[in-house]
Amino acid sequence: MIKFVLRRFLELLLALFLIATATFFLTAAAPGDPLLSRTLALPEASRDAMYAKYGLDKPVLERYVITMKGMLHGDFGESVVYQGQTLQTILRDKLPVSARLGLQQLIFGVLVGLLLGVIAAVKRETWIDRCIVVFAVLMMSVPELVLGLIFQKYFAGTLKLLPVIGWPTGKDLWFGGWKYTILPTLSGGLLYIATYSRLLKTSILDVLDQDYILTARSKGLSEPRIVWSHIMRNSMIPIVTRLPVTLAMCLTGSFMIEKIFAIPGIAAYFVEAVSANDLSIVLGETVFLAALFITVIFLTDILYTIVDPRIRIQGGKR
Amino acid sequence: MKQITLNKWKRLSALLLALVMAFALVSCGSTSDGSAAPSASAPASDAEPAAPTDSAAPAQEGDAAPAQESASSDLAADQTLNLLLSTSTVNVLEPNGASWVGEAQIYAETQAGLLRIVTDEDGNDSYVADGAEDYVISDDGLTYTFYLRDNTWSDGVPVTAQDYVYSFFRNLDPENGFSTTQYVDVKNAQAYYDGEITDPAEVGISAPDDHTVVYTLEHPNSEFIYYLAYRSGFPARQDVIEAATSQYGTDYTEMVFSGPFKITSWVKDNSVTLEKNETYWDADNVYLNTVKFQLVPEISTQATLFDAQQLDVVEYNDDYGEDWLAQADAGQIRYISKPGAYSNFLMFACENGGNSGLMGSAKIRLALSLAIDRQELVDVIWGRNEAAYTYVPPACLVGTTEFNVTGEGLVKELQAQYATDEQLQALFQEGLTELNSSLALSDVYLDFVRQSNTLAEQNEVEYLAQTWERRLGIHINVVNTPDDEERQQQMDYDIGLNSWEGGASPYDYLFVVNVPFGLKYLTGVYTNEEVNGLLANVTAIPDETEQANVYHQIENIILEEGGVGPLYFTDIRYFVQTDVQGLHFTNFGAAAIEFSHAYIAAE
Repeated sequence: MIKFVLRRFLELLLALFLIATATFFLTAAAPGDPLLSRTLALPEASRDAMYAKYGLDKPVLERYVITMKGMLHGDFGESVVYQGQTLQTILRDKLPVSARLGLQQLIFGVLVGLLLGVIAAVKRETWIDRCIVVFAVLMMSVPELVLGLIFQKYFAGTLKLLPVIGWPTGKDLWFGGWKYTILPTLSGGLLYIATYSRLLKTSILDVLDQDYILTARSKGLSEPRIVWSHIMRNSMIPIVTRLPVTLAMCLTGSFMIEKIFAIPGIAAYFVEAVSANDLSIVLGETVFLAALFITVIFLTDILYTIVDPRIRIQGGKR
Repeated sequence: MKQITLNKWKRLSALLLALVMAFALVSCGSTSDGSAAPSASAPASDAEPAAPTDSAAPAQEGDAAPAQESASSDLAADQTLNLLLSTSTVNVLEPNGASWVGEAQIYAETQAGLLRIVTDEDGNDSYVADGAEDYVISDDGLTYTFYLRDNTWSDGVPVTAQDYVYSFFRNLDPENGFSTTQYVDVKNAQAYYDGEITDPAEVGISAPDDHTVVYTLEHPNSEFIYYLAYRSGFPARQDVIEAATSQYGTDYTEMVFSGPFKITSWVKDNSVTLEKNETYWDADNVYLNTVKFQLVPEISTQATLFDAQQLDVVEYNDDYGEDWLAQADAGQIRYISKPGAYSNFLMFACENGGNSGLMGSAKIRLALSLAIDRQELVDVIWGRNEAAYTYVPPACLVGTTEFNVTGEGLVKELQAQYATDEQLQALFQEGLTELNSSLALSDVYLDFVRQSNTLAEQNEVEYLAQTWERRLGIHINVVNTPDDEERQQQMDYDIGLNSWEGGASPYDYLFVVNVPFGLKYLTGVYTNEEVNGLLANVTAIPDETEQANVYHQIENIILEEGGVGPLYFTDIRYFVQTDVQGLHFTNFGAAAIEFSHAYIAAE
């Protein structure tokens, strides 16, 4: 196990290095000069000073070395577009906002989704099951952009039940301003309901057909024991192993939801950074996201072994 | 909106660049010694102080600020104005460091420059004295003396003349990367910027006492007073700026404010909240308590907010415009529409003849320009905007004199001369002959390089390309690139589209063609020595009519040579809630929506 962790860690470092290198050279080669529009109108000396400030006056290879050295200390440099801002300040200000939105969507969506999944499985082939399936298919097909706009227009615009836009900040960042979060949570959370209800239902039905359930029944185990110890535990395997990736994705925000509800989150910012050619931020965000996902995938592998003892990590004891 | 967003940097860079042109004036050394009266639309004359507007904001669209004695009964209890935050970068909210329109909108309302731009009864931009109580321009047009009011920073410290001088030198430091261009007319400012002199006392700005700022110019320049209404004329507090832990202007908690409002909340990329600044000299006539700017990129969300009356001003857009126009007709909201100052034009790769090698020919460029029916373009493709037959928009004035007239201009006259396809083809052919080209029209291939972000922009490109192919019998290769600015810099095209919004004077549009002092790539490095010579001297002409004549002479040369091919002027269209009064929609003001003396009327 230790060998496995160590190897994964070294792989993580190598992957990050390769990703950072590739991102650096791709952004350097991409058309467009991030300082062009800001400096076009400036006299020579001021323009030179600006290029020097961001190191853009240096050859690409030299910039690469400087960037990599900085990266070792977690310093990706100042944003070219937003003076005074760095990856750290942006993550500090914006990540909690996106994280709360994502977590609320996840908790609401997954819990309701699992409940509906169980109901659909238990009531399979009834109208309840069909309603849930239709609902799930519908929610998976309708983009969250459309849902968000519809909810916003009717619940906030026409009925005036909730605010049209806004998001709690300051002391309300984590546990206040709930009314602002309802529509964004709903708009993004419905997709989780759809995904997880279908996933769990399929999984339960799959398990029900397994021989060991038949065995359990033939052994005379009580029905609740069969449901909890055998059906649910085995049905949850795909859920549990999928959750970490969902969690990672939800933490980094939803571009569309943030845009519709004017939420000061990180997703919209990252998309902007790419279009504005904000080199240091693009590089920083790529490395950050890569590290997050690689770690999550690693944790998922570990989780597999916990929820399903039949799975063993290569190199571990047999 | 999209059009404006696409070109967001240009608006302010016009101002920066305006003084690049002044390099030309300095280097040509052809200044006039005669007396020069300011001919910008400032309410100033040689000896008369500007009329201060202490009592009320000037009217706009029939709005009037409430008379002071009855103000309380006219005002709604909640004096909150809700506006959209610009989708352009909003990151540096102080006058020296700001570069973008959204930043200018906020610094203009939170700081008191010497002058403030509002609109007059006709909707034209005009100046009122703000930080200055009055000012005097010497008879020779070289000395501008500003007498300051008793104004106070938001931390209680008096605003002094030294704050304006400090702001001046802050801009002149190349390390800051700020605009210096607007100062270059000031005596020795260029030499100081270049490091040739190091003693600030030798530079033509001084503060003889706490309430007087004196600018001394190298030569008369009717544009100078105009620059002072922008960032050049705003104060800056040295002690506060030096004590700031981050770049000044990026953290509102470290800032001080001298204007009608102060920033009390700022969520980056999301919202800015202003509250009334009680220390502002005219605070008694500032009625709004709170102004909330919210970034709402999604148009449908803007519409929901506006319909729910949670947004007070929204720009026209195609999806909701018709519905809102109907509401405006029913008196539920107000519709503001006026000619704008964005000049949209064809540009040609003059410098190297472009990829085809043909764009060096004035006749070929003119044929391409004249082939386009501007009215059809705005009617069919845009469904809005004004057809342009001049390059300088009618919104520009020379002093107080009208310059161009909507729907008229040299391009229209030339189109009458070259009305048929045969005449245009003959003109194009003449151009080919002059270039000693043996190409037949059907063998001509031109690269039309354009960044089309919207359906309308794509339609426009297709419309133009098809028109040229149909009328001139040539071939157009449409190249849709994600970065046409870069292609323009590299002169890697034949025809492009560009737009420019300068200041209130024709000079701010014409100087860009003055290679190498203007914005040479904006017009494909079109250059003409006669134009350069005229531009070098025009701002020193004291007589408005004479100055206007020279501006016309310059513009006509550019149009006749197809230096640019004007297409249309983007118009300004807003919808406003009926209870919001006293807004000024400026063409050239730092604040596009000037609301310092606006108010929410009682129902």
